[in-house]
Amino acid sequence: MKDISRTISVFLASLLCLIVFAVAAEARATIQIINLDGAGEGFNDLTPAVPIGGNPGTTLGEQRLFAFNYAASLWARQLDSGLVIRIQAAFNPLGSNVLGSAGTVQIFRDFTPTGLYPGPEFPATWYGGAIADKRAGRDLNQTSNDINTQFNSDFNFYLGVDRNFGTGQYDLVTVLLHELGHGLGFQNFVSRTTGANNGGFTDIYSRYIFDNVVGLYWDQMTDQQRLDSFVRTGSVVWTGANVTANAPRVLSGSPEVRVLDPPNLSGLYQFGTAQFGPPLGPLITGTLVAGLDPSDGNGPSTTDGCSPLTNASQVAGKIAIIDRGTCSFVIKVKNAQDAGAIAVVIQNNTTGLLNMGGVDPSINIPSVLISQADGGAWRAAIPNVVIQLRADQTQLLGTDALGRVRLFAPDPIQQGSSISHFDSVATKNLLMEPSINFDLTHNLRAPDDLTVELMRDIGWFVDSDLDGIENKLDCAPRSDLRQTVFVKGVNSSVTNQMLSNGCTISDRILKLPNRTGTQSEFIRRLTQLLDQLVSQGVINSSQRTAILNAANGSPSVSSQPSRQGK
Amino acid sequence: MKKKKVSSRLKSDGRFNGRLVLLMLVAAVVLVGLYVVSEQSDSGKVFSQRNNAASSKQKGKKYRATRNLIIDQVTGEQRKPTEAELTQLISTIENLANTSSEGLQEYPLDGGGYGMDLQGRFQGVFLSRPRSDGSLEVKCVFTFEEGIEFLGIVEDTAATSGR
Repeated sequence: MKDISRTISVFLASLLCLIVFAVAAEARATIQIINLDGAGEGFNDLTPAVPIGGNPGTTLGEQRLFAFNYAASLWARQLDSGLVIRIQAAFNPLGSNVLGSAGTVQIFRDFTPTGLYPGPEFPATWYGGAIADKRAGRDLNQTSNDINTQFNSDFNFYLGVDRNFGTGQYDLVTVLLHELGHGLGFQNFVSRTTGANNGGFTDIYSRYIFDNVVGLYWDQMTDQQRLDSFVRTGSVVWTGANVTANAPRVLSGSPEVRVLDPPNLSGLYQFGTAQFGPPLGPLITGTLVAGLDPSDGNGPSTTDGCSPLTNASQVAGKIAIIDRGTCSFVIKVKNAQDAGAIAVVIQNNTTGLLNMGGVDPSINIPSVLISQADGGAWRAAIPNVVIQLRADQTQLLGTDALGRVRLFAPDPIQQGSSISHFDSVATKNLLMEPSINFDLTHNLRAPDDLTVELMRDIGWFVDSDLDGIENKLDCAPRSDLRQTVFVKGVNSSVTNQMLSNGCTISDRILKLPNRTGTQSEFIRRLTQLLDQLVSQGVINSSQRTAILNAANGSPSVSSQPSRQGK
Repeated sequence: MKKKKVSSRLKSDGRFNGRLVLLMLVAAVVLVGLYVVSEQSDSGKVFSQRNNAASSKQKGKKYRATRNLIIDQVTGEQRKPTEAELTQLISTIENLANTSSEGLQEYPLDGGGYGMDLQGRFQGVFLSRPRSDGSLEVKCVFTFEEGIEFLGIVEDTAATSGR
């Protein structure tokens, strides 16, 4: 009896283990989180927790599961799939330096589609499990889950869903969005050691990777060429049309500092940027003026800007130049801003350039740092120096000359290489860069991010009615999918079939042209359509009659839908 | 005749109905439990064992940390990992960050095409290291080499044996 009760307890614990959350409420895809944790651990950890940041869980396990479910729902809203995407998940102790991992469980190639589904876009090309299922219109391996995830139960993640994490904390939802991105297709399957394709076949991700140095796509390269390309910094780009088209909506232009006058100083200059204040953006043109302040306890120099400026009337509406040193960058820029400057140039007090750190949310003008030598030359030419600051929108940060977004390929090998990330030079920061940056939102698509656009490129096509035909090719992207054909609200009781172009019979009837708007023209057009469908074997003559009767306002008495036609 | 009596008991005895429901519940729990075990075998546990086998190429090598990686839970100070912590870390990264296709087999799909179980390889792995101010820096890596480079772990050639 003891054994039986123990067995039952084990199975009850197992039942607790299998908490399957189906994310489908407002989703276009359904994602299941399959909890692999045992009783009392991971998702089933009963340690009490206080609800936080929109996460209502009252145990640690509940909060983890809610965050997982939340991240899955954000992805589910962006993807159309009639197949359930199954994500196996567990929290395990992984030591002090591992947050977690994720990837596709299986890959598939040359699969045969069902129904109207397109199948693989390219032959002899690997696809991750979830996207392969979507394009096949069937679950290609029913005994396997699609994505594997594992996270560290020892790591102190922020479990709220409002991005209100504390300094130094990592937002589990953001980390999940990134890792699920890999599992959904943001990865290649090339050996980092040899450059060899997996099993000798390329993958759908690699087909869009282009190396500007050798002028080849990754699927066109030899193993050695791919190996070389892994570390070809700045030259490896993503060529998918959706990412490239949306990059200008997401990425900033390259900032530039140019002297327009005097002629002997005119030209582009190198500079350091500021972590505070707005980045360079729309064109700012102004005359350079030295910012002057008292020599006092805040700073001994009258050009260090450490105290409120004394020549505000000259600075207002101009670009102020201030020396580096004694006080922080943000104090100098704030003092110039308070004096009415439209931008600030900080002149370095030593050789070289650096980016300026600091935090002051009240700063709303841009600032740059220039070299000591350049600053000296500019100061000497005041009041005849005219400066132009702007971001060049023809050269986006993180793209090549053709506007294609760069992939991360540092040389020598560095953390986060492997090509399966966007380059970290992209600005604004993108979810699929190798690091998680604190300014990321939970929005996966333009204008905040480019991850969904990359998914579209590799074949996660938009299919609102899940009939297997991409919306832009679909006769009716949001088909009337009722079981029977309705004509002007009248049920004909004839089975409503999906036709090969993505329209149902009801859709075809709804789309009938009717220039005069008269019932007689409608009936004439409908008759033509029904005759065509009869001749194609889609419906039989009695079904034709039933639909015509419905069109004339008489619902059919027949309740037996015909299966003839398909 | 007996059957009829049993049948009438089934209909009339509420306690018996309760037992039947209980039995059905237990059966359902058993089935779900078996499913879980099967799920874990298919994709969880077995997959870890496969990974362990695949990672054997790193065995025999010794590593050392060149920077602080651990924030000591007792003192709050940063320190280098102990040998045991380093061994666990190396093992975890080996298992998760593996892009070798060696030994992976493709299998035919019903209706045409091929599939391949990646056996837990080609995973993106998020690693963290402490900054000097105590905050953490994280990076996603796909290979063992990328992982140890980020963590400042190097092969301890002086301690390597058998090569």
